[in-house]
Amino acid sequence: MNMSPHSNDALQALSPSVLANLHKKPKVRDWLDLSATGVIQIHTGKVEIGQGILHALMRIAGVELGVSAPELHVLAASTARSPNEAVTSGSLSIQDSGATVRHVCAHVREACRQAFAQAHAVATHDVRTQDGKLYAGEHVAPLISFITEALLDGRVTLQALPSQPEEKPTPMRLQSSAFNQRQDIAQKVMGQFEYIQDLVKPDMRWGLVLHPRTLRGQLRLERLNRFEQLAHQIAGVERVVHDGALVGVVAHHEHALSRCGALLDLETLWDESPSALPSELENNQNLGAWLKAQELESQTISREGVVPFVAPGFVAAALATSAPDSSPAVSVSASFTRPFVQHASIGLSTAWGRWRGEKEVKGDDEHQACQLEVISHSQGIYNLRRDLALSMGLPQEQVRVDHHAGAGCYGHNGADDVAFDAAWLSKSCSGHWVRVQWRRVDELGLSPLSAAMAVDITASASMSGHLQSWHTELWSQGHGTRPGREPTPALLGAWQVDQSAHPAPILVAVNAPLSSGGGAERNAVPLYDIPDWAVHNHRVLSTPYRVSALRSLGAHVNVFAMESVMDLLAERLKMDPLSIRLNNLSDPRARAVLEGVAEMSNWSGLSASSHPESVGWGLGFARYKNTGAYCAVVAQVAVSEAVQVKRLFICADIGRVVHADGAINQIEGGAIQAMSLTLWEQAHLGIEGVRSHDWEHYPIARFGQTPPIQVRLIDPFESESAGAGECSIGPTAGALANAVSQAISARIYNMPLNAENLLQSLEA
Amino acid sequence: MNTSLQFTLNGVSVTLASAKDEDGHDRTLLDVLRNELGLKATRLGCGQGQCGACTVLQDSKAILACEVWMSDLTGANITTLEGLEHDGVPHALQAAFIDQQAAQCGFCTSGLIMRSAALLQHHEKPTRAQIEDALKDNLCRCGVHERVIQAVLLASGQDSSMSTSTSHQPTSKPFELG
Repeated sequence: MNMSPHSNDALQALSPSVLANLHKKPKVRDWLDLSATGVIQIHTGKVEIGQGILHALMRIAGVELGVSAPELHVLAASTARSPNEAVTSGSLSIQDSGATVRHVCAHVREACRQAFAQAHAVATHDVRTQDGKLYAGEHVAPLISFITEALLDGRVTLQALPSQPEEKPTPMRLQSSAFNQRQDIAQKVMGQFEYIQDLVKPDMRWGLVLHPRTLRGQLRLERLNRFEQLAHQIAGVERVVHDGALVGVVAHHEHALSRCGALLDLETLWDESPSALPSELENNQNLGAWLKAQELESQTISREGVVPFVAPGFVAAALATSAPDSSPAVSVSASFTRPFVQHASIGLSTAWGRWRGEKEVKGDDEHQACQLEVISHSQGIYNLRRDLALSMGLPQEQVRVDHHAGAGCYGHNGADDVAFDAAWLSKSCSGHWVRVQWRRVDELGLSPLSAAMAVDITASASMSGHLQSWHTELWSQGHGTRPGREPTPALLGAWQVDQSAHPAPILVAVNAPLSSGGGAERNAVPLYDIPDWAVHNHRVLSTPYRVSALRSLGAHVNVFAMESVMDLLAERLKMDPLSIRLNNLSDPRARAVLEGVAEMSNWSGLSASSHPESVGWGLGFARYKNTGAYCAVVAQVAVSEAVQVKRLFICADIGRVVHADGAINQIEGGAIQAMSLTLWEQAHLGIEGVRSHDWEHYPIARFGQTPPIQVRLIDPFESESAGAGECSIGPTAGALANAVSQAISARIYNMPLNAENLLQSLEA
Repeated sequence: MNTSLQFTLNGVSVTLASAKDEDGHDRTLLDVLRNELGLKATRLGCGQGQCGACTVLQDSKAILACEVWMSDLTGANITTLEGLEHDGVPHALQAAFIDQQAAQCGFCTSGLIMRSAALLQHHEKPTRAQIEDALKDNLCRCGVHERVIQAVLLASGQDSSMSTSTSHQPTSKPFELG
């Protein structure tokens, strides 16, 4: 095997995200250093949320350096030492952090090879790296002996470097790689993994922070007094504090807090604010009408870019003349909705806070002692730090946030909010670490929802099955109220404490710019080749319930709608669903995943054979954000009273593959979560807040409802890596919509595809 | 009055001074495992008996530690995830879960393994349908259901690749962009 990097292919320029990272953190030491015991430590700003990113980054570093696991460690992010890589979201960690780590490690490897060559008077291209050592002829030395202080203090080159040629994948190497198994999974299976929920600290306190069930609920002081009296009768309760609508309890053990929480079953502490809550949302039947009736901020996306809203008819008329064939043969107009859905992690949001006075901090020799220290499973520790500092009136340098992994995170959950709760409560017992954990009712009831959406599409195609026009109008609240992005804090508790000291108004959710993938409009722009298209995005400005990011944002609904319309057009044209897609896709990578999934599922055989009634097959496709991973899904369903998914076939192209099994695991998980969202999930809302606050009222996919899944990864080694975590969400929703439609010979336009909506579509 | 309580935990006899708190209120097994005995693999997911994250074994039966009161456990024989391995050798289920990489965040994993351990005690070679039925009250949000089913089949000596296969087709040829 040729191990000389110099034989590698032509260099490509560093990507903008790598350059941006190195502009902010230019030194080697910012990304890589040595522990006291000689372990190579990788610093990343991205965080582990159950997706295996630390393992993937370890693989990237290990391959580039020629070092394996025990001598290599990826550190959990901390504002005390890590580069600020904003939020771990949008399937960007491999693309951004991974590419930077790859480049920094290549820089270090090359520097070590050159130093070794000089020391032994050999040519650099004769030096190879393997198993943590440098070799040239009879000479051998540990790699780390060349990782000097001078190297660590030096700047990372901005020139592109070749990556290790031995990483070029062969199926055998990927199968046999010792890197293939995630170390954290072994620890989790053996009961050795320490989650944030498991930490214990000396002389710690246990905290409970109680919020109103609605954003604007008001604390009733006479009820608080009764609560306080009862709480103080519980052994172990140290104090009860309140501020604005927030109530906190500090105790010496968790059991006391459980009993305090149970007191709320007797009497709520707040007057909720029903006037702000639309009663028509209660049964999820008038979602589209409600969304369209709100105050809107609208814009239009077309070939010209993003512009202020242009009425749909106007764009169509203006562009119609440029279409090659202006007499559409068939056209379809359809309206789709999805209700509010919930984050629904199995774990409970948890955080730790410790507050210390200026004097105590000054007396602390510990490096970088801060007045407020927080441990959190947030997706963005720097953004959280900024909003904590804002809401507590501290300079950011006086706030330290350390990441510690919690349960699975699929978007903006309660992690940041509970971090505020812990910080706020720790003020009342200065000097002690306070652990605050939400209860299940809080986890499902207080975490941001994912916005309800309505999507109307009008599309036309020629008789030969070529798309001619595509017009989408969508209505949704924004898909982001993450911390760190607005002038005032985006933390639930900060909105609910007394506002006189640090005003923090309730924020209206925004959409990320389309250049970053957009929010509600994510994947609303067709990837299909269409001469005339436009997307009108109406942002709903009222905020009866807090909404924010959930895995894939608007792509779940937009791809569901778009892929439904593709099948509707195919039906009208009596075309095969695969053919109409291939007819309108010139991008070869898009075609490859569709052809791949067709082969896996024997699609051509399926369409030739007749299916028993109530069985259906469906196809769905998207390229995530139109810039990320390509994914095509075929679903088989059987429908009786409910939908049973029998099989899922998935073919994806995520660019250069870093960790095949990890990526496949993410793609499978995304598909199952999408199936759950599409078939069953809907938040039940009322004037008293979120009613679906336990698992009985918010059912998610269970064993017995999940199908066998086959995944095929196409691995174009030369293409930039793209994240795998979200690419299967939209295509799975589309495939299920189309499979159900085939099975019952009727289309369901409103998610979830549950028995109730099934019946409605059959009656329609 | 002597309120001490003895039970067997992971093969070792444990005596608690009391099953109750200072106020005489009964405590759950989950609270005692995590906060008194320092065994953290059993997880609090809901505290309402609805998610299965706290599943442990009482003899060979799966029970929910968040719903079981300590005072009902006098003389009971309890096994948690920490007690599954023998002399440092992982249980067949643990080995199979690692082999299949049947986890993502891993928060539900402990409960799933314990529920599966109960299943294997009653069915040496469970069918897919039996596995699905046994695990239906254990929730997983990451979506590793299929990997878990394959891991339980593998742990019971059955072919784990009969219904699922994954593949990875590396190619060093870049696609031409159209």
